[in-house]
Amino acid sequence: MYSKWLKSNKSQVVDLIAEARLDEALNDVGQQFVAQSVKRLPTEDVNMAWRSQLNEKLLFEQNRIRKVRKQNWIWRPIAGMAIASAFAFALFVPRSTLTTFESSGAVEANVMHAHMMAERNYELTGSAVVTRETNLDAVPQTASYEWEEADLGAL
Amino acid sequence: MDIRRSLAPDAALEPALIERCRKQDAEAFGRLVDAYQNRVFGFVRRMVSDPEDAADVVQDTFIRAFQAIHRFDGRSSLRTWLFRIAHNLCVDRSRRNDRTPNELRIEAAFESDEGIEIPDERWDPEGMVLNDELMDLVEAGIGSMSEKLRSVLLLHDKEDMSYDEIANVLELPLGTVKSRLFLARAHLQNALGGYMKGETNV
Repeated sequence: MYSKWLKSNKSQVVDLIAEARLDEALNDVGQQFVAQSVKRLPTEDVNMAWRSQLNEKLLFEQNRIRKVRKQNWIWRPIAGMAIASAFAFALFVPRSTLTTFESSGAVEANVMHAHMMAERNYELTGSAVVTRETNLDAVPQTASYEWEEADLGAL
Repeated sequence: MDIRRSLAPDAALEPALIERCRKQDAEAFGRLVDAYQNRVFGFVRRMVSDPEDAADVVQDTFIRAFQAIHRFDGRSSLRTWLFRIAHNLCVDRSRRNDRTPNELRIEAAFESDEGIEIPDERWDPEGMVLNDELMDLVEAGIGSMSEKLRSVLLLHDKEDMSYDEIANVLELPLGTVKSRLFLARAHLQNALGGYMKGETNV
């Protein structure tokens, strides 16, 4: 019966034995001598300069904490109200009342027209020429072209 | 002018002071600082080698305590809580310095036959007064051990904390606290061995 219990609680028993051994070792004369030596070490006290510096820091910290609390006192209710309003709007405003943008089609038609004009110009004149440059209306009708022989030959 | 060691506040008065501190009452907190500053400083001074660093750490300890006192729930004592903050700050500081001293292993400490031979006439714990030589050796021995051992030794032997309180401060199992205390003292025994045998001539 006892050996069975011992087997199942072996690790606990080992721990207890180790702890008992450790307690005994801690009460050893040599260990106690060291403990007394440490206990009788002189104490070092802080000075007034250190303390007044700490007081200044504490005062600064006190003001900072008060400021943060005051700000929280103002902003927290505002933030809470804003969140609550957003929820209420999302939940209670009927979807049908929400305004939606309906296109008249004029913008799309203009975009398509501009695109088609640009494509046509490209086919006629090639790349790197803008529409403005190929606008025939912009070319003065009276302009005289002094064609050289070489130019005519190239054509 | 030094502020002399002050008494810990009356146990009945401390909860009222803590309650006032929760409302950011600097005057009440000042009284708690008066009560604990020298004890915390004594601990930190031996945990951090540089005196200026130690003074900074103690100031940080009290400022952090002031910032977080509304979260102090009173499950542990204020002393335990303050020492925990101080210890954590010391560990942060020593990590930056990365010290790795040579120490005994627990098996070696148990098996060592070189115990301190203490002559009967010198073994008078109550009347024992440390002379300068022994004091220097003890300080040097404490300074040469790791912060893990040093913290347990100082909290137990210098600050009179119980094993449970130390386990709470350092967040360690009770067995670990005991084994570290044993190792720390064994380390110090080795450091004082020569002195106790009368071989040291400093």
